[in-house]
Amino acid sequence: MMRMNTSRVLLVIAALGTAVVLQASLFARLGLPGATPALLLVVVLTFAMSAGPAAGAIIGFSAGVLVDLAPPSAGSLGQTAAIYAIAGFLAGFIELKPGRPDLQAVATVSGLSVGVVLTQALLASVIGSPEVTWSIVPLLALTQFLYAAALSLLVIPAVGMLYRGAAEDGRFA
Amino acid sequence: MREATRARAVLGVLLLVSITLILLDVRGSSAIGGLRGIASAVVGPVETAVAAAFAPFVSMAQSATSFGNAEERSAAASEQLREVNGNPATQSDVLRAREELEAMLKLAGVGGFQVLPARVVAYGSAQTFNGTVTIDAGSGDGISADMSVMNGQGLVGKVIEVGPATATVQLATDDDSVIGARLVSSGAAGALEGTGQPGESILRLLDPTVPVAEGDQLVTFGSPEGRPYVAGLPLGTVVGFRGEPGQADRVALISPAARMGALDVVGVVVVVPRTESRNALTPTAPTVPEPASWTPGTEPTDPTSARR
Repeated sequence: MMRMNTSRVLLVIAALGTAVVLQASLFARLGLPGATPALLLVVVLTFAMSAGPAAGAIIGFSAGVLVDLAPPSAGSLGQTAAIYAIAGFLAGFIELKPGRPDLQAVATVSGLSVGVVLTQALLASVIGSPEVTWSIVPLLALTQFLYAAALSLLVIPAVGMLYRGAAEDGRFA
Repeated sequence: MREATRARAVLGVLLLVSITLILLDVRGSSAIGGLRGIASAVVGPVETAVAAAFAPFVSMAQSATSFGNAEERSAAASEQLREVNGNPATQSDVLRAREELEAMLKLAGVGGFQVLPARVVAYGSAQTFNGTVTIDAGSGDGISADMSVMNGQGLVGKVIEVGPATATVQLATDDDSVIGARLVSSGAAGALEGTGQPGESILRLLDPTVPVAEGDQLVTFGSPEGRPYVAGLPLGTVVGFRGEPGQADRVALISPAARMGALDVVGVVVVVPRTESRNALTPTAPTVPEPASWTPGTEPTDPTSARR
């Protein structure tokens, strides 16, 4: 497991902040079919694959708290945090290799993104309204699989490179 | 493996913290309300800026999937805007926003509502089933919670959270949204419930035996003082049914009037006319009809023929 340092923590905070705003103000407004491309989750999973399961869980939790608090805040605080913490923890067991994103990394991101969609649908039907239409869930899962795979091809090289770069000038590494 | 054990412990602690936060939030903790206030004060303006930066791009993407009248634009307006800005993408965005603003003001005029125009700058994710959006106006503009939000097509939702410069709107299609509704055809009352999907809501009538037909229009029933919902705004159209006719679980499927997937210009109803005409009336005494002039069987249609 690579260790966190100040510059990496700052990088994670900046990346999560950027992702949450881009997801809400750009991706979610495009009116794409099915799910909203989960940019924030892809960023979380990329960091988790670089930093290991413990740091992955913490990064996932922080990202989830951000989603739960930032407008348009929806649902209870802690709901997304718990789901993203588990996703980050699981992704942390996959090690991200430098260079081009490999099949294993892309499959991890897509697979866990679909898992998050299914968990959110389940939670919405249990603690939300019983009117959640399950017929839409396969479309959400399929589109999220494709969106997450496409996003990971861009996010994994960019975030992975920044993350490794942040180690070299970090004094607390 | 020590690292895995440590990671499991970290995850366990985080899940406990999450559950504590959920419980605190459900019980309405003021500390969490404060955190939300800070988040909307910080993130809201950034969302507004990002939305403005990508506005032409988003407008084009939305037009690609819309049924709007993008081609029916007046040449005069285009010419006017070409002088202001040479970028065709920006022009198209500005024109669309103006059309939406005009349509919204026209509908608000019908009800005599004072509206505060705003633009949608952020959407919640579709996969959370929470239909919520951020608008670029907040408490500094006179917006407070439980105000109705509309656009040119009908009711959009209500304000649920207010920040200094932004506010969060719960759409009528949110899975927690329940709105009092009235059928235009029969005046029958019911509840419009969101399903978390932007294109489909369901209507539960108080009296399930009331005849409802596909194509029937639905308007808001209205709340006292117009908060959270003003009366008479279009809500949607009946597009289908679920359940057996006459049964208590029979619901009508509603296509929302406002296109919730691609909202841009909306209006927050700030002031509702205090009273409708409430002058005391002195009706003239009715004249008793002559028995000979009364002809039975002249009712327009048999109500049972419309039943499905």
